[in-house]
Amino acid sequence: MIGLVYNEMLKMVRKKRLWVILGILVILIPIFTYAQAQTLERAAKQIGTSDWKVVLKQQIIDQQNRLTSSRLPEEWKAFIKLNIQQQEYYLKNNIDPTAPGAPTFMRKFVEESVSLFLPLLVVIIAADLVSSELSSGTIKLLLTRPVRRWKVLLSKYISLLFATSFIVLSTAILSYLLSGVVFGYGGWDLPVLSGFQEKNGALLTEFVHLMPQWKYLLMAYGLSWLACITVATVSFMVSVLVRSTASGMGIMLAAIISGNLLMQLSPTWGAIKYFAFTQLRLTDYLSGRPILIEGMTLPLSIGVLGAWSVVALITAFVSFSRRDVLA
Amino acid sequence: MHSNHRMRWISIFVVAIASFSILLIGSIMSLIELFRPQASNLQTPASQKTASPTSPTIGRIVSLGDSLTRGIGDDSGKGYIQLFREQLQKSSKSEVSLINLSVSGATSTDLRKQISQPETSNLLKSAEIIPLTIGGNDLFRGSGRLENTDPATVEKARLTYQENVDFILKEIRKQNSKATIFMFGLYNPFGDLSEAKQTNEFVAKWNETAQQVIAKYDRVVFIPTYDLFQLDPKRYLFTDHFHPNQNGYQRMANRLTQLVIDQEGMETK
Repeated sequence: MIGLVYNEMLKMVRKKRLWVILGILVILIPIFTYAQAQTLERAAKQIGTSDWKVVLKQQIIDQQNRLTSSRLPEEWKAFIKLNIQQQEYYLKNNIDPTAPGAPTFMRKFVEESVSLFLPLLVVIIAADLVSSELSSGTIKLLLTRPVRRWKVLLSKYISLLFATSFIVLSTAILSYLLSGVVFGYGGWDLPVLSGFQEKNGALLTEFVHLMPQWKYLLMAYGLSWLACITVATVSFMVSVLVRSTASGMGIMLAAIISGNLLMQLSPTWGAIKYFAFTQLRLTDYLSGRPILIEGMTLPLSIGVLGAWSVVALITAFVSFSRRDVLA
Repeated sequence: MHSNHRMRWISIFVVAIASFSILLIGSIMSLIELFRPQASNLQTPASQKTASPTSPTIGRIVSLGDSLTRGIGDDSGKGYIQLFREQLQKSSKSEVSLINLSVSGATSTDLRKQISQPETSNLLKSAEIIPLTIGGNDLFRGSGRLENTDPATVEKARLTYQENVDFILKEIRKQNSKATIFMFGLYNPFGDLSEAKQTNEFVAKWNETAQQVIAKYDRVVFIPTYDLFQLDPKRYLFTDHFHPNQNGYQRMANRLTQLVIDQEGMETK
């Protein structure tokens, strides 16, 4: 079995997809870093100070003004209200939520990329994992060996899990190394607030507590990893069911992007909660960022992601072992 | 060849298993954390030693008030306060900074509450110029007609207004004894309507009230706006017939600039 997994991983490394992904990260992270630095600089210039308290206070006031607009939908109002309460809490406890530094950038980056960017990277390797062997015919070689079919598929899945972990961790490491050039490499033990809870439109702060940023980062990347594994598992199923690489990727891209779109377009439509790709923003539970869709809770998110993964996995195995690959 | 193969075998598995287990630990930690939240440990707020340095800026404006200071009705979104800042910037060599704390829709009671917050008072301390618009929402609610045409109710609102303005100015002075406060008076957006007589009377009375309160304080300047909008309200008011439009704001900004450049001696040499 270990031999099979090794064989699969070697194939992945040889196929150079992983290097393409690292390449994408190396090119895009500096761009994001530059954009972030620009934004900070511009905000500081506009207000005339780099004092974070002033900036935060101004942000709160600006949001209060948005609240007075009568055209703002109710769910956005609730979102902004919670945001204001959270920012006021930061202010009151003298904690800068955006103290500059590479670890802070890592935190922002994972919070922003968990629902779209990271899943897309995962799809690059996952979407044709099985179908590429079907289309190139190499699957026949694989299956003529004296190993059971489910073992072959399992070895592929395990290597996919490893590759997904590698991608998430590389994202963390690269965003640290590259953004540190601009923001500096310090800030691992900066205090971060976590544990915000929402109840009936009010922000509960009884569980809010401080933790060092390194711990927060470990947890945030852990959560984004869970989201990525769901994406990888569903892509894995697609790669078993769909023969062409292009359509497999197309299906996954459409699914992930429509998940993101649905969150923005119709946060009041409760049914979208059960679509796995609207549940990818797990890090929001950690940061306490208000969740736009009504009735979303962590157990529900984990449950939906877990259910989708299990169903996808079963479908993949059943379909693969029954398929007539030699045709 | 054989050891080479072995090395590759080991390195691939080490990288794979290491990244897998680090993230697994992270996700388990976060699930424990999120499912069993710890009680707040904030009784002792973390002392953040690195007090971010406030960059010294000259001509720091901290503005307070309602939608007029927000710039509602100006298509460019600037309002008098941004126009004023731009004009001031032209005649000043150093960076003119602006912190706009106004909240659209605020009444004098809202401002009174806001001014008592510790964060607001911190910002006021560093201000050099404090422009202020307040009272419009007390007298005219939203962009409708007069909230109450009943003179007794208006009179009651006026007394609250008087008390609030007094409190606000006292509080600003307490935080900052040097800054110049510029308080805009009220204008009558309904000056061309049938009830103009009565509304004019109210506005005049309220402006008088504001001026009387202001007289008690040093370095507080009353800037009339009544005259600006009296003759041709349509031309200087936004289509909501309540807020100024860009032209109206420009006139307000001109007044303020004129006063500041005189007072602060910031003329171009």
